Amino acid sequence: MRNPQDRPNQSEDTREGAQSDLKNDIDGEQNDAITSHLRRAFEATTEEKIPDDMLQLLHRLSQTKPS
Amino acid sequence: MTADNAGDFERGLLDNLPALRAYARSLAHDPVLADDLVQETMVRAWEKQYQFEAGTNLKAWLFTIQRNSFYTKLRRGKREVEDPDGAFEMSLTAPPAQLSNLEFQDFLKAFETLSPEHREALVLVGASGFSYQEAAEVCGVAVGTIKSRVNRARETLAAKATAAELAAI
Repeated sequence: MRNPQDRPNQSEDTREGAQSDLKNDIDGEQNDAITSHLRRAFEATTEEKIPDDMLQLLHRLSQTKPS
Repeated sequence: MTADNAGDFERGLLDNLPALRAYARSLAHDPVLADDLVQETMVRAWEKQYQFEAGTNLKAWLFTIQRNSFYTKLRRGKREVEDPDGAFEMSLTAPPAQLSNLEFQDFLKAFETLSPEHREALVLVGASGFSYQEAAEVCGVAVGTIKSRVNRARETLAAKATAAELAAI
């Protein structure tokens, strides 16, 4: 029995991954609610104004030649 | 690289800054550290832009750079990922109308209890619009691993939602 704190085993993950599409279809309605919450959380951040110092950095970078 | 390509790259970088900031907050758990991480990503991406193949997925390329930067620093012990005070919840900006929504707040609390791998998979696939394949490339794992992580994360969140609903009865 795997300790839930352990990092998932990749080969096992891969096997389980093949079954995930079907399960996600079955749980679609609940997943939609989860996706909706997720997007709601992140859209608020993505709609924030980009900080000036970030835009200034981009401007400075654009004046330089990539190494 | 031609001037046109450099201009395209700059525009592409600018267009992806909002998504990079949201992803950085999910990694760093702190808005200030997150913006530092984004700025570091911008510098690295600019320096490495000759490695980017025009016409391929710039967003995934930038996310990969940001993720690698974050975990490199984490391994060096320069970042803290624990969130004892719920800083991650606070770092996610919610409009005033959402603050009173208990269901949404419960979701954020439940989301924070997920493992970092499961949170990241949900953020990439559920919130950032990546396909399973693209998310797998960003994380450097197999597609099945991402599918499994997303599925387990959703199951965990669904179980917590059900438990909360039962407790409210």
